[in-house]
Amino acid sequence: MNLTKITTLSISLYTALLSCNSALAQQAPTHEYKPDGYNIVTVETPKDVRFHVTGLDSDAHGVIWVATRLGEVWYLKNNTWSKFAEGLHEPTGLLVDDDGSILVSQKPELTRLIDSDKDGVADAYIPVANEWQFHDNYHEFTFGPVKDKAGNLYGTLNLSHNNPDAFTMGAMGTAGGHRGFAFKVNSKGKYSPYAHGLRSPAGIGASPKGEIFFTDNQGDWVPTSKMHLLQEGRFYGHPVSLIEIEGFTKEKVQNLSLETLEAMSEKPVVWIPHVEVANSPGNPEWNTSNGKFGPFEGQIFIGDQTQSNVFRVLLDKVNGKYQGAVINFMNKFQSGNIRAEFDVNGQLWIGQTARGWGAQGGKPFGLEKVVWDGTNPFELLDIKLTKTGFKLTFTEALDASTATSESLSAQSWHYHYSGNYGSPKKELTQLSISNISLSNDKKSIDIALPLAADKVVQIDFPGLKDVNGRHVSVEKVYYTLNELIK
Amino acid sequence: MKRLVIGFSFILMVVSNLGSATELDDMITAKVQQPEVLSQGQTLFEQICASCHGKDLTGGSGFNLKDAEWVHGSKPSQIINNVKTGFMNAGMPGFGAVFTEPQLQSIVAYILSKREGWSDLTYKLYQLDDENDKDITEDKLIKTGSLPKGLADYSIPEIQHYFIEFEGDFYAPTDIDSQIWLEWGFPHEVNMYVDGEQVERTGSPWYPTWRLKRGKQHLRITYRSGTTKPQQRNLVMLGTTLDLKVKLFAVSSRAKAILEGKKYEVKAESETVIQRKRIHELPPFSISVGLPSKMNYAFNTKSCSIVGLWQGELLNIGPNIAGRGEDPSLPLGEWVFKYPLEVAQATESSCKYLGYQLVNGEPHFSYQVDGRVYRMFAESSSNNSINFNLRSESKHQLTMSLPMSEKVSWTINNKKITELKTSVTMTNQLIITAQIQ
Repeated sequence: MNLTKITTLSISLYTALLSCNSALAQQAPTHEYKPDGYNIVTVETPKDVRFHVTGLDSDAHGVIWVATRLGEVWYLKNNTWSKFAEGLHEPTGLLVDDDGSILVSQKPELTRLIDSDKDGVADAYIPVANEWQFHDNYHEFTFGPVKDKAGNLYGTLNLSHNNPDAFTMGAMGTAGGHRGFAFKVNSKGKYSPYAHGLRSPAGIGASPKGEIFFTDNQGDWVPTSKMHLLQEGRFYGHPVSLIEIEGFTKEKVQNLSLETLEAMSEKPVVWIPHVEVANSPGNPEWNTSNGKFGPFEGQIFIGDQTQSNVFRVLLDKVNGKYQGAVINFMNKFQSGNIRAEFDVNGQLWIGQTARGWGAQGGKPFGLEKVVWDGTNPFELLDIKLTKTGFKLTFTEALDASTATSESLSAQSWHYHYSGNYGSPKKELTQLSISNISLSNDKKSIDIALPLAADKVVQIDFPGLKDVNGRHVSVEKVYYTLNELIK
Repeated sequence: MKRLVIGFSFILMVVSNLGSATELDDMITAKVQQPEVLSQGQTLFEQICASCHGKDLTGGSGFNLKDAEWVHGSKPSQIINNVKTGFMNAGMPGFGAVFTEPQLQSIVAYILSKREGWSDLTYKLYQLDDENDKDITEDKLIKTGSLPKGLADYSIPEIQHYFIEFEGDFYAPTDIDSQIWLEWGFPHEVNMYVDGEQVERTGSPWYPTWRLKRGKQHLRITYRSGTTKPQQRNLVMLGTTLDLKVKLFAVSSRAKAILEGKKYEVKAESETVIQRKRIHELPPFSISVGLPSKMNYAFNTKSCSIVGLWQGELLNIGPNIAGRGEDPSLPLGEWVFKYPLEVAQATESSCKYLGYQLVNGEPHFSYQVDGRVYRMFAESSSNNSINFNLRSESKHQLTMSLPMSEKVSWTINNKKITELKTSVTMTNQLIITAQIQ
C-alpha cells in the first residue's frame, strides 16, 4: 500500500471538488508531487547573509557559484562558502566562463570578474557590455549570460514597470535603450541587439548543441508563460520594443492590429499553463549528467519562482521546428525557484528568492538541490506527436491491464493574445481518445485522438500503473501543438 | 470506485487522528474570552516571555507574536506544543516542565488575545476594460490567492485597470478603539466592510479612516484603480488609534515596510566600500565609493565623471533591497555636490568605461576618451578633503570641469582653481583636490 499515493488521491479529489466553484480560476496541484527516488536537500547558506540566489552556475570541479540580489558573488567549495565579489547592482545571472573568470549580469552592466592574484577574491570588475539603457527602474533586470558553441554571449533585458517616461501598451513599458530585447556579445566583445518583443524574460539557457532558448513570464501580451528558441532579428510578441525597430514609430505600433502583431510573433516552443505549471519560470537547464540524474537524460528542467516547483520540458521536432510539452516534476520547495543548474555530479541545484514577488514556499531566499538515489521512478518520460495522436513513453513498463482508454483523458484549448494581463483557456474542448496500443516493451503507448494545430493538448493519465503497481506522481502533460506532422 | 472509497476513508482516518488537537484548539480559543485566564497569562508572559518577545509582543530576539506570521504553526495546539518543547537551537528553551498545563494554556490564550491584523487573508483580482469600468463580474477575475503574511499587497496587480479585493478575519485590539488609516487617500476608491456591513469613510479627504470593531471581525477591503496613476496605487494602509497619534499595526504590505523602517546601512569602517545601487538624486550607472575617512563619491560609468561627493557615512541601501526594490538607496550624510554638478573632462567626445581594479582595496576606475586611456582613483585622509588622482600615459592638454560652490575649494596639482573649466597639461598625473569648507 503506497500511502503517499492515497494522500495524493484524496487531495486531488478535494481539489477537483473545489475547482467546480470557479470554472475560470486555474488551479495549481496542491498535493506534493515527486518521482520515486528524488529528494530535495536544503543547502546551508552563509549565516546572516541575505542569500537570494538569482545567478547560479557550477564549474568543472563541482564548485557552485552564486550571485545574490544583494549584489554579492559567493562560491561553495568543499562545503565552505567564500565571498568572491560584492557591491554589484542586483545581479540576476551568472556564468563561469571557460577561463575560470565569472560573468555576472548586473542591472546596468554585464561584468567580468577576474581574480588576477589568485587569492580567491575578484580584483577586477570589467564591463563586457553596457550599451543598453538602464533607467533606475526596479523591473529593468538583465538576465544571462549564456554562451553558444561559437563563443557568443547572450542575455535578455526586462521591460520597465511604473516608469513614467516609458512607452506602454498595457502593464510593462520601455523608455528605449533596448528594453525588451535579447542582446548578443560576440567573441570579439562587440555588443548588438539580437531579438525583440520580450517582456519579462527571466530565464535563458544554452542547449548542449549551443542553441539558445529563453522563457518569458505571463502578463500583458504574454497570455501564459512560455519558452522560445531565440533567433536573430525575430519578434517575440510584446509590442513596445518595436518602437526601436526601423520602420516603426509609437503611433504605428499602437495602430497595429492584434492579427498583424500575432502574425509577426514567433510561436513558442512550449506554452506553460499558468498556475497549473508556472507563473514566473526561470532558466531552462539541460540534464546532461549521463544518467547520474536518473532516466530524464537530455531533458530541460525549469524552476518556477511563484509555484516553488520544478517542471520538465520535453522537446519534439516536427517539420524541422521545435515544439513540445511541459510536465510538472517536483514541488514543495522552500522558496521561489528562479535558477536551476546541474553540477558535474548530476545534482540539480535550485537558486531561490521570494522578495517582492511571493512564492508558495514560505522562505524569503535560499538554495536547495534535487538528488536522485538510484530508484527507477514511474513517470512519463517523453511524449512525441504522431500522425494520429501521441506516443507516450514511461520510465517503467506498464501494467498492460491499465493501458485502456478509461485510464486517460484529453482536452485542448488555445490562448488569446492581447494586451490584457494573461489569458484564460479559450475553446476548451474535451478530446476523445479512440485507440490505445501498447509497445512490445510495454513502456510506450500510442494514442489516437483528433488533432488540430495551434492548440495546447492536455493529456491526463491517472489510471495507468506500472508493473509494480505504482501510479505516476504527475499525471498531466501539456503538449504545445503548433504544427501537425506534414 | 474502489479508489474513491480508499480516498475518503483515508480522509476520515486523518480527521479522527486530529481529534485531540482540535479539542485543545477549541479549549484554548474559549479561554481567550476569559478575563481571569488572560490576566494569569499576562502575568506569566511578562515574567518569562517578554524578555525575548517584547512586553508588547512585537518581538525582540524572539519573533513578533502579534502578526499573522507563525513560523512553527498558528493553531493554539501547535503554539502550546512549541512553548512546551522550545527551539533550543534558536535559543528558546522548552517550558513544558516549568508550568502546569492550565498555566501554559493561559499564556497561549493571552498571546492569542493580543493578535492584530489579518488572518487567513485572500485576494481576488479583476481586470477591468478601462478607467471607467465599474462592472465587476466573474469573467473578469484573473487572479486569486492567499497572503500568508497577513498583509494586503497592493503591488500584486501589474495591469492598468483593475479591481482588487482583500478579505479575511481581522484582529483589532480588544482594549482600545482603533481604525484603519490610508495615506494620500483622496483619489482612491477604497471601500471597507466589517462583518458584511460597509463602514463609513471618515477622517480628512487626503487621510481617510475607517472604524474597526474591537477584537475579531471579518474584514473585506476593495479597491478600484479608476483614474489614479499606477505609481500611486501601492497603498499605505495601517491601523491607528482614533486620535491618529499611535500607529498600531500594518494592514498593507507597503505599510509594513514603512513601519519596520527600510534600513540597511552600508558604512566604510576600516576599508573602502563599493556599492552599485540605485542612489537617490544620482543618475543611473553610478557606482558609489565610501572611504574610511568618511568621504564618499560616486563615479558614473556612462559619463566617466564624479557625479556626487558627500561627507559622512555611505548609504542606506534598505529601500533599494526591500520588496521589489522600487525605492532608491539614500546617501547618509551631507552633500558637498551632486549631479548635475560633476568633476569631468570637458570634451565633446564620449567616453568608454573600461572597469575598475582593486588596488589595496581601492577602486581604480579606467576609461577611454579620444583614444587615450585614463585611470582615476581617490585618496582621502580626513572627512573634509579628498584627492582624485587622474593618470594617463601620454603628455597632452585637457580641460577639466569642476563644480564651483561655496562648500568646496579646488586645486589641481596644488594650483588653486576658481574657474568652472580649466585647461591643464597632463604629464602623467593630475591630483585634483577638493577641500570642504
